Amino acid sequence: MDYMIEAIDLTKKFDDLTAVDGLNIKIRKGEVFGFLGPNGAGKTTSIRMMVGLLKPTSGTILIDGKNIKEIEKGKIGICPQELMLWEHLTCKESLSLMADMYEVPKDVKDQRIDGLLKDLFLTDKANSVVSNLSGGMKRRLNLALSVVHEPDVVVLDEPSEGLDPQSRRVLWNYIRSMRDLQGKTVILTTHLMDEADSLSDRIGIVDHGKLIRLDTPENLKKEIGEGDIVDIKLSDPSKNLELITELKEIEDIISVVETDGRINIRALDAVSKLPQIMKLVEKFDLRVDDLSVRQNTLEDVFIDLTGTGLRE
Amino acid sequence: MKFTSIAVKDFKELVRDKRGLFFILLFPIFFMMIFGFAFGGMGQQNTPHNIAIVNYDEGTTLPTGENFNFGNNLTNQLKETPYTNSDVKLFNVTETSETQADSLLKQRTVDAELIIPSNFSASMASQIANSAGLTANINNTVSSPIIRGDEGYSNFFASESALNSVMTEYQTDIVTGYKNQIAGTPGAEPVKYVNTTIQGISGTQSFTQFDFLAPGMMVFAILLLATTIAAILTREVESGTLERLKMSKMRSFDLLFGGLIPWSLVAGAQVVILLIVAVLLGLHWQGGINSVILATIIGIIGELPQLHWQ
Ligand SMILES: Nc1ncnc2c1ncn2[C@@H]1O[C@H](COP(=O)(O)OP(=O)(O)O)[C@@H](O)[C@H]1O
Ligand SMILES: [Mg+2]
Repeated sequence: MDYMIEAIDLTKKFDDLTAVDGLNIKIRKGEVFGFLGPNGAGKTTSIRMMVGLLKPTSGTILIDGKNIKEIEKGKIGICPQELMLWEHLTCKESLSLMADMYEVPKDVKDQRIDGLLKDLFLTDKANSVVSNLSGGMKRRLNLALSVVHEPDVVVLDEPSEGLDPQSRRVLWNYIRSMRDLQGKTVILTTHLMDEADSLSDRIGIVDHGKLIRLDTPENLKKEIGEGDIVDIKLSDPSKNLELITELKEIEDIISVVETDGRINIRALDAVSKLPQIMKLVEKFDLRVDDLSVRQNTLEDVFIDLTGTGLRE
Repeated sequence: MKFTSIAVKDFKELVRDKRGLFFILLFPIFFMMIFGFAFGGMGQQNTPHNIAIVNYDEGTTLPTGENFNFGNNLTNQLKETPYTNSDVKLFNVTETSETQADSLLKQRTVDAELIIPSNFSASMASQIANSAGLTANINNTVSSPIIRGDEGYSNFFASESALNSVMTEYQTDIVTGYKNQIAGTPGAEPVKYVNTTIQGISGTQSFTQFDFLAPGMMVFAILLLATTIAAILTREVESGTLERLKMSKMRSFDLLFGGLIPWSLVAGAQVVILLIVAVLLGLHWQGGINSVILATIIGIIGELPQLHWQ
């Protein structure tokens, strides 16, 4: 069996809201799989169903080929989006408690806890109570608590939310080492493009509860994200929409989207399209306040696919 | 033995949360104060002492020739006597049988019980005759009225001393009155024919502190435990840590039983504090318990919605 997790027609409805809509996904053993999507896309709901914390409205989840209901506890470790900590316990006590709850043998427990504290740079704070930790430390402990039983599958829900760049680096290195050194299957959700890009072997882009794309970051950038981006800021952004309609008529333009009041035009040879673009701008009696041509990023792919409307 | 890890964890959380612990331990006192004021009639000023009078007095023929029942007379006197400088009566008298009086005493409906013996009038007559020097008429009857009550109950002392002083005054007044009426020479040494004895009902005292308070305390403790277990779960749900625990190999038993151990210690401490305060204040508890149960049930119901986790 190549797949660690299979979700088949997974659906979750909250009253009349369909948070996850017929999700089909197969996560390979030993890969880092990134769930990318804007806030409210249904990432958390999906992974909570995949680890058995939430009952799907319909659909099936197989873990290592077995139905989720039959798997042994301790196979999965989930690091929740929110901090889930005992404020009055120290880092070490918290880890020790979770190790006991997962029946980690006494002879390996202490060593494993020390290792985790070291890997996540918490050794200095081992005996500090959680309420005295900084936000970044709490998040690192939140992660440590989810993997103290060394599960085969590690699920991380927005792990780098609220982390400073240093903490993020620690986290990313740790995630990579889980895959490369410990052979774990890692699933992470994020709305950060660079995170999905630099960590994941494969990325699934979800929006409105649906999987709209699944591929490697490279392929995503190459296939959907071909070409360059012309990024224009106009003197009167209220005319953006009218202009976009006309811009879309130009030959060989792949897509035109509005983000943050700017217009992003993606085309294979963007520079050669500039004269036509400028002509249209003049036709609408507009001036260009700012213009740049840059390479396509995963972020552009993301905006292209999911649009720019707020989800929450 | 996962429940031991949980117990250790809960105990640490309990003692490290200083503010929480402070409130948990003081909560019963606070509770008690409220119910004490509501049902125990604390801080009362010039409210009548509740007493029961059991009158066995058979009456007597006085040296003046008239038939008189001093027991009835004393009873009326006790009913009438007001507080000094006040219209409020000193006693709220219930005339009843001895068995009835004893049971009222145990329920603390009355604070003290006065038993007037059958020969009370006879002894009063002897007292009068003696102080008036009418030696011929002395039949030397000595009576022993009894003031009965629970010596572990603060209200008893107040009632008892009030009773005692009124009775002493009553005797003096009567004797002086008749002495003047008969106008004889005073006797050499007035003999005391009425000897009031104080009788502690040993039963009531132990009954009060153990049999009486303990069931209430136990109900209270159990309900407190129920609320605290609800509180444990609520806290785990709110901090999200229950989700962590649910993913692990822990069973519900471990969480609840493990949580029960440190909380039992707390409940024990609460009951001890409660008992101490109860004894210090000498509160009535009959009225309180129903209300305590009611309040606790409301408390539990209030916590229930938060326990809706799947
Ligand atoms: N318990 C719930 N009850 C009702 N609606 C919910 C619940 N949990 C999530 N939702 C809704 O489902 C949608 C997806 O939420 P979520 O999975 O948390 O998104 P994401 O993690 O991608 O930001 C959102 O619209 C959210 O409001
Ligand atoms: Mg989420």
